[in-house]
Amino acid sequence: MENILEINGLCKAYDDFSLKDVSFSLPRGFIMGFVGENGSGKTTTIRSILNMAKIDSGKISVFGLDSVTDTIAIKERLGVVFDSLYLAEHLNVKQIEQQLKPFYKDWNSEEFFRRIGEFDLPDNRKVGDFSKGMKMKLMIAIALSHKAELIILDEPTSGLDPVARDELLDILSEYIEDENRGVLFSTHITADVERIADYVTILHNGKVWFTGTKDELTESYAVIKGAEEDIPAALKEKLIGFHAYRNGFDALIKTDDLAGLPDTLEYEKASIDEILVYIAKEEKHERHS
Amino acid sequence: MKIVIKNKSELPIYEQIEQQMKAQILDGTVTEDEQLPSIRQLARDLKISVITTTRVYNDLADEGFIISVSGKGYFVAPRNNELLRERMLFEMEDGLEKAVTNGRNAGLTDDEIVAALRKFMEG
Amino acid sequence: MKDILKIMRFDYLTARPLAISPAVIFVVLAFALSLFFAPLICSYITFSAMVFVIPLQGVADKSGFNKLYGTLPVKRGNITRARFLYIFLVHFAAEMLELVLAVTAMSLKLYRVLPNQNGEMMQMVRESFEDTTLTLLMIIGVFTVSCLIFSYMEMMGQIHGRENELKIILITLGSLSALAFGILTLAQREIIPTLKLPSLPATTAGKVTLGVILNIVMLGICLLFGEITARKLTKREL
Repeated sequence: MENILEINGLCKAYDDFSLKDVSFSLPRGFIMGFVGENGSGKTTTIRSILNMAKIDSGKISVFGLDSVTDTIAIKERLGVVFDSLYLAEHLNVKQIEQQLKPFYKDWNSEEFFRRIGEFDLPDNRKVGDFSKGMKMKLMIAIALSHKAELIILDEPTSGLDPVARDELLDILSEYIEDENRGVLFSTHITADVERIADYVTILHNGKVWFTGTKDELTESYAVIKGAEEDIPAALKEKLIGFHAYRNGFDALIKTDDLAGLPDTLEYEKASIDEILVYIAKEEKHERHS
Repeated sequence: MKIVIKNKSELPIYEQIEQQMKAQILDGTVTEDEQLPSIRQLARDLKISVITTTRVYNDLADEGFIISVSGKGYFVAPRNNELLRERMLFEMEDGLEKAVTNGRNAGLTDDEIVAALRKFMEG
Repeated sequence: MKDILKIMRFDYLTARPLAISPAVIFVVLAFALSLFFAPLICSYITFSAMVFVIPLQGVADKSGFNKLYGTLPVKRGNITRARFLYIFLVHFAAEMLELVLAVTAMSLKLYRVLPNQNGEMMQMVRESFEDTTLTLLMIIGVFTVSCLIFSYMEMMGQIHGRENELKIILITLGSLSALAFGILTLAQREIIPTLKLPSLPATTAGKVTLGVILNIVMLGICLLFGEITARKLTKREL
């Protein structure tokens, strides 16, 4: 299966933060949820893909092209949705279309205005007056109008109301019906990716904590609960984000480690959200001990 | 075909869909040879991941409920399909076994259980 | 080059809705005044070039055009170069318009309809309509100064950040006036020979040539500033 996006050993150091050996890949035809708490390195990774940040080492290829040397050819076929609108706020949709049109070989004005109509966006109002959801839809309409094969979304849902978030999922579901396309969806609202994402990459402290299919992720981890004294000594080592309280404990555990679990301990499947929370707890724990 | 996904269900999404599709194939809501939506269409309609719908179709095909015709898509398997027949027999036996166990647990005699079954069959 | 044209078009379309009405007001006002009082007032049209530059810089910063530029399929350096060429071109367009309108004003001589033709003021007005050299000097001079200042500020703003712009302007103005003051003082005390302003060529052809040379030099300076800025910025991240 051809990868529409492939990152190998990406390293990038800043004074106060660094990406360490980030590697993951997204096959053509699928949606990847790119999750992790704020500051985990999602945006830096995306800026590296766009060649906006200069990578220290590693290799990123998009459509099989190199992100540094072929960045222009890549951007011709790439749609990007940021958390805020990057267009001139005093212009209306028509004026924006005029502005962007010449930059893309495959720009299709008809398609653009069809999308604008479909998304219920007024074409004569200043885009600065648009609601957050409308701005997001405008950026998607732009991506769809130059036949982008890969759409990268950087926290598009932060600050969006549930209706607009649901609309976004609708749009992405429709987009990915074409199996030649791909979506990289960065968010810290995991409910958005829980349903539609095929693949999930979890970033934590600039490192890849997990990457693979979503089913693999949710089937590999479970939340375990019970009384602290019931935990076998061998198991205690393997618990992630162990959290004890007055009447018991809870923690994340790999499902492989569930064998031989005493009946007094209960477990249930873990959501991506829970996994993220336990990863964060585990780190705090390490810092304290 | 009608499929309802409950986010709060204990069952994973793929199992929810499989169960509902099987039920509708078995009770004839969807007729044999009927074409099913493509993997990507179904994913879009239900707003779920493509990998999930792929898994559903693969599982259903393995169990003989649906067949994949290359280049055309997925279809409900014909009734005389051996696999499907076996599957149905298995489901029936499974149901009967449960019925007998429950009946006995409730203190019914075997005759009473058979009578209850006969009553069911007469409608 | 294609990239640069696309970006200039983009910048122009960004500035146009904000700039068009003040620009028209400047043009109409300056032209109306120049028709009756002095053709050199046309040089005020340079302000309409400024209104095509200043709001653009503001919008670009406020809307985070850097993010947009990061997604567009164009070379980073060309985005910077385009901005400088844009500054030159809006100034150049204003200058051309000024010349056309000034020549129109001079040939119409509408001051003749004003009352009190024999007054002292009217004497000055009449002279200003005769003095082609001064009008020309004013128009080309204002163009050169404004274009120089704006392209220099763009360079400093992009390299050092807009927030430092005022500081940079003050430092630049300060050092320039200190330098001028120094030279004047030294010349007065006859420590260095008195500077003589080069006199303008006497012929019309000579004046036109000088004007063309000044414009070409200005274009060169803008391109140079653009190149310097582009080189500096490519090392930086968006």
